[in-house]
Amino acid sequence: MRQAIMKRLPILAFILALSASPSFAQDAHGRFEKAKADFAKVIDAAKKEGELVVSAFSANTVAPEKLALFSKTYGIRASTVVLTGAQSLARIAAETSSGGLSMDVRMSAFGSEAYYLRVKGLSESFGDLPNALDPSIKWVKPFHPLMGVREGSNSIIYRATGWGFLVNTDLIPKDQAPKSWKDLADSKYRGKMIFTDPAFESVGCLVFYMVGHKYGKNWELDLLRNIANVTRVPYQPDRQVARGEFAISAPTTSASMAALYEIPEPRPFMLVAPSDGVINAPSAATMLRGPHPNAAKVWANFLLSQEAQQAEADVPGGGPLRHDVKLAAPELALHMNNPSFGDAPPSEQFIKDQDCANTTPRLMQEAGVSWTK
Amino acid sequence: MTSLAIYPGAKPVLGRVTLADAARLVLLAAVIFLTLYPLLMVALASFNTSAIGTKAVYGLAPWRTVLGDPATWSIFWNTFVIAVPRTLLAIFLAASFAWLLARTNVPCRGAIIAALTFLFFLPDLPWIIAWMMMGAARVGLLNKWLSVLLGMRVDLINVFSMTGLIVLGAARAVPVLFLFLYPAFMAMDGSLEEAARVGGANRWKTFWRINFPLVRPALFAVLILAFVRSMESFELEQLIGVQAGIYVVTTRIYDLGFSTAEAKFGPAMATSLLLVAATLLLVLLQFRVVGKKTYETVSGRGFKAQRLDLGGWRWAAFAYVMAFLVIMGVLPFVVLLLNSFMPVYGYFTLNLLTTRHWARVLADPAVMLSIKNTLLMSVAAAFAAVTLCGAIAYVIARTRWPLRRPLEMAAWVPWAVPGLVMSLGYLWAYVSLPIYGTVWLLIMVFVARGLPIATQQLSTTFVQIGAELEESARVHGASWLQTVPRVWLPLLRPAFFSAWILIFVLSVRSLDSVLVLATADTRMLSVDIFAAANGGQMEMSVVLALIQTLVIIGGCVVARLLMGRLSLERASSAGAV
Repeated sequence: MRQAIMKRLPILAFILALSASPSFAQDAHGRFEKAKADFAKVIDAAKKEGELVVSAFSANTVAPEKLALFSKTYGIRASTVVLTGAQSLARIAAETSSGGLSMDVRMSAFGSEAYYLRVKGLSESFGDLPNALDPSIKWVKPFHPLMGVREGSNSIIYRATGWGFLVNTDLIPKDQAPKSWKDLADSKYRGKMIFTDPAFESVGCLVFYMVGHKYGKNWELDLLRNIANVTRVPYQPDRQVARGEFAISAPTTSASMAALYEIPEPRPFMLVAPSDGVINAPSAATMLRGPHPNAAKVWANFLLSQEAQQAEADVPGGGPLRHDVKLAAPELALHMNNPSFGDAPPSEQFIKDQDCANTTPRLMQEAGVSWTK
Repeated sequence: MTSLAIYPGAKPVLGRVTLADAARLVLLAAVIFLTLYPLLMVALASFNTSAIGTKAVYGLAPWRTVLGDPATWSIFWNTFVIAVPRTLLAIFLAASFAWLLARTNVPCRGAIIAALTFLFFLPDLPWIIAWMMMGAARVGLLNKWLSVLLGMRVDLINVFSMTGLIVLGAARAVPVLFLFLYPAFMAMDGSLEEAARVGGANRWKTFWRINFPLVRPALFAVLILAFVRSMESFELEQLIGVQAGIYVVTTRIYDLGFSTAEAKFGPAMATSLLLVAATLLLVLLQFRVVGKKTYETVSGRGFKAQRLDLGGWRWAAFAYVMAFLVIMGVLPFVVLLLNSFMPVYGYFTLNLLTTRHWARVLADPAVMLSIKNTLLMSVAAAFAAVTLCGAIAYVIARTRWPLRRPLEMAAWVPWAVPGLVMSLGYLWAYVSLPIYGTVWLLIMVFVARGLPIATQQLSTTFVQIGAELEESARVHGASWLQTVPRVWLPLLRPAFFSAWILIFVLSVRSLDSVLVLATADTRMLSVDIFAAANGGQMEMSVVLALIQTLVIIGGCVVARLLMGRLSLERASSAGAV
């Protein structure tokens, strides 16, 4: 099953193939024009609602600047509520059952959250968003706002980040640094790496799943043997590597690197975009059955607008999906200028295939390693 | 002595139920609503075999998963192995500080008390992150400084270890335990020590035969508080423990219920209920140990609060307390403060100093709303909790009401359950209330979370006050309502003030129990700190943490000014009755 998933064609290729057909292009254009015409009513209704509450995983998931721009553009008061994944689902479920959901949109990494919100009937479709259907917009490959919708999710994709790794060049000279995911399992890096806990629903687990599939079980076992410590603290491992506590941190995203790039050159570390491809992680906005449904739709459409995408690009390490933006820090935009390792598996399949809390400990046992004291 | 029974209000109003009984029942109902009702929701969820958001199906599967998994017991053992030395170390430090500062002539007492209180003000998350940077093996700041100092490469300190978890956990607990113990030591009658010494007892014998038995209720309460807090501690274990490969009950609860988006909470809730059971056993043990003995030291004949002259040892004692303050308070605070002016947290370069993190935070109107909310909610919660806990403590300590022990145990519940879990209990319990989504809900949660500590603080002081004072007032014709302001309040002022400060500070710092309940309109600084840290914006997080510390200091200073002569120090000399 995993073979089949990894071999599936990129969604963009599918979209491009379909759009090559004249009738598809006509239909798509017609749908876009209709959505654009209809959306004026949605905007009016949203303005009457006057408010939008967005639930997000962290403060940088929805930058205050973006909220301010939205409020200024539409005259709708926008605010955020910060909740982690499980807490968010618990609260959405509890509030929905009491008939008083307070949030309109959930912003998260695209994956299990969006999936669970849909299968539990806690989300709904945004409907046709003009910016998602606009054929004139060039999206960064291999992303498209509707790639989640085509998977059956109620989420739109509005940003993306690429994952690579960080190397301390004082501890490992540049010419000896790992260049690819494959290299990370080389025994010369044993005991030098801090890794996002793969026995936890995290990007660490996703790396094991995706890269492990390509390079096989021996690669997984060798990588496990190389890991000195695991962590669950977001963004801290990169700082620990930059300070010289560890030689390598993986996986690392451009968002995490943004702060570290404030350190003037010469920096004692380098961000590596793996030569075998960065792992792309899209971010999703999911429409809840909240009190301001029209404002939610306007927000989702706004996220795909040039203005909002430029606001995303203005933040070093941000992850715009559109090409028509100017990046504040192009070297950090791993998802834009590097080959992709491959498509992440569909959420449902990943959840079925990969039980991080069980798979990783089993592999660890086989590798004869333990991080537990 | 059934104190209430001697007042007019004790007349039967409903058959054999007196007005006092009715008041106590209302009190019990309020405590149940605040503590047991959310716990009941947690207990129900522990039998829910389906994931959140789907139709609940009840069964024993979550309990079988937890009880049948050997990992559960090894993790409980791990937690116990950490909690015991941590608790003992914390109590040793806190009790020795309290004794030195309350009963001896150690220099600069006022400044040291203020510094210890200040240490309590510092928020957990940035404090831990400061220590992750200072105490890392090899490249940590402390190892670097020691290397420079000793002229050789030193790699002595590593907080990512069992020792690190124990020492940092103990250090974090010391200020709150000190604030708890200090009033108890202050309330001791110095003439008893004097009598012991006149009777030929040396200092050591006086301490063991006089001081220790008198503060035993407070020490046992603190022992249990510290142990329970250690068992349910989460941030330190998640941030430092996991990297050190050390997993405890709370990280297990997190793994079981919160590490995936599916939100299948059954096993997590069942595990947390095992913690509740362990805590309630400890509370029962406390009842037995403190039992029926009398600990009255403030009686109608008055007392003297004398200080022991330590002679030359006073400077050694001063150095002992200061060493703790510098290492655990000043260093992390300086690290935080300096980092707030650095472009990147963790990189000290004086030529890169910047104020932009401060400027960005202070220009954000949402932060201003958070500051306002934090202050208003915490002040309101502190007043409400102190009033409620005063009533609970009175019933526990001064009456023989048959339900006083259940009342006390109910008041313990909020600290027996990790905040992460209890927050869901609050969510499920209160989601249908009209106050859900408002500041009133958060105030209610703060009151609930503060019940154990404030109740213990006040009840241990209540038991030190002789019953004859109340009886004397009654004999002279004072009603119960007249006795409260004229007898109880003057005697309890230091304890009330300490309890108020504790609740206020805990409310300002509160995170795990409010995160799932906060809305855009009820956002708080603690939630902002978490949100920034979770998003990798450590610089913003540090600035917000420092603002939170300023808010706490400001709130405490204003409270102290408003209470006039109610400072902890003055209360000792005003203790004569």
